[in-house]
Amino acid sequence: MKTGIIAVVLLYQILVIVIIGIIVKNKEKKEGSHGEASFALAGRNMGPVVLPITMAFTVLGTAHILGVFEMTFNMGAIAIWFSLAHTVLLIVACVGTGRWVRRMGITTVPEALVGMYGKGVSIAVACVMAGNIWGILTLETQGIGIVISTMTGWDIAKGALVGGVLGVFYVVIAGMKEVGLINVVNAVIKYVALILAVLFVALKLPGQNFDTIQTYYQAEPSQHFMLSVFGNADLFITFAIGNIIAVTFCQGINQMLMQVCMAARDEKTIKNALWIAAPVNGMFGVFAVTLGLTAKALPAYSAVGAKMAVTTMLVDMLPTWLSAGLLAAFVAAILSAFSMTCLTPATIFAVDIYKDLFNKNASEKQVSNVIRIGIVILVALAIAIAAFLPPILGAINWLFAWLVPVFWIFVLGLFWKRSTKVAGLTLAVSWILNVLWSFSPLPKAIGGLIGTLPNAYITLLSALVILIVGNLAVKGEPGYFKTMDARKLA
Amino acid sequence: MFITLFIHTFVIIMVMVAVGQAIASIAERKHKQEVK
Repeated sequence: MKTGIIAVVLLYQILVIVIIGIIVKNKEKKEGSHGEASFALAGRNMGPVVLPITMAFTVLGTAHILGVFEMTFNMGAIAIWFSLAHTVLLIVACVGTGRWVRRMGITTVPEALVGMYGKGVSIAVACVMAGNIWGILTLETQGIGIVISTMTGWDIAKGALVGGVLGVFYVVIAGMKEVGLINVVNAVIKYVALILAVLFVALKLPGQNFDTIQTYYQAEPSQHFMLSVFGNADLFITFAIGNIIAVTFCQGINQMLMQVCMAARDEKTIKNALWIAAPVNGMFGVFAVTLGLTAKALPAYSAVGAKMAVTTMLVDMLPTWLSAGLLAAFVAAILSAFSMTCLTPATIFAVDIYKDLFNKNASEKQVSNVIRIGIVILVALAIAIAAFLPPILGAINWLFAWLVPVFWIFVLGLFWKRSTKVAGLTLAVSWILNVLWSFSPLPKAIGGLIGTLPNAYITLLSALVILIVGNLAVKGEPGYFKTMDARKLA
Repeated sequence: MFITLFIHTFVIIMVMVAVGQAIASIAERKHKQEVK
């Protein structure tokens, strides 16, 4: 699959982006709705179709595609719990954190923390959160480079550059409204291409179904667990539950998903969005896992190794037009997460740093333009970093762990107690531990089971211990939603 | 294999969503009573 196919895929993406961008801009002109709330938050009017699709695809990116292929190859069907962990995340966001940030009427998560803990904590979180999401952006950029590279033969840096430019256009013309509408159009392509890909792979197998693959795993007793979504006890505790903890507590307060919730029409729309967002996100994993199990069972592709087995199999087995469709689907899936990972840190910078610290009287148009410039700079830096290929899974593990203490100071501060000193101490200790856990011999020195725990467990443990003990020890203020101001908000 | 995986996953997702919605409704009712 070479130049002709990639040209068709790129042309499709460009057409969708430009046409939707122009439609949204014209509509905004007619309605006279410009500015920060319109660009970054879609005028806080995302409805019952666009909202759940955007929520689902904001947290579905590189790791859901390349990561799940690789995890399935190594661990079997239990890899579906990477997707199911995101279902738990969407539940927490739709019935909890997402509704709370919408109720507060804020534009960024750090803005909520100003009211709860003061400016110091808020700015610290703004800096860490923006850096954190930008870190995820570099991985998404790398992911899109790998997908384009493996399916076209281009080198990864070139793929990352093309993907990065597309990603900027995805969001920069009309902001969140554009992202939402493109997501809805692309959702159809994603699922149709995936369903057809699985169907065509099945038709190429003996018996024209997956029975031979099933027989392959059933023939060897030690491989039976590969077919079960619950794997075995060890895998369930370390992988399934580990993923639920890491994904839920890190992404459950991350600006990426919260900005989508802040853009919702109202709280009820967010709560109801769960019925669509959860299956749309979670079921994606079924197709990825099926393809992973199939590639592992076929000697020709098993020999290629975990990283490349599935993509090599797809390029070999699918007709060219379907390979192109699948490439379009993968690129669209990664771009949906990519667009939010560049929009959200740029929004944090524009609102919490530029407007709050340097230009308090900035107009909405000025803030929107700063967001646009921020998006271009962040993506340019991400493309430059992506060429060095940082390891995706290890990096995600470290990045996610930074936001675990932020989740807990937010939730406990809303409903239980608030103390700026305790919150500051929690963040400082947890973040230092996270750095030490990755870049010092501390885990090795501790050894045993604790020494092997991923970073998210460490920051979860330290955050909960310091917050609970600290809040019991100091007087503090009552939970934010218990105060009179917040009652008015409710 | 695909059909089994599809059904298992769909059932797990829907059960989790239903449980999540139920817990949220109960917590919401309790919180409203506390605020009153």
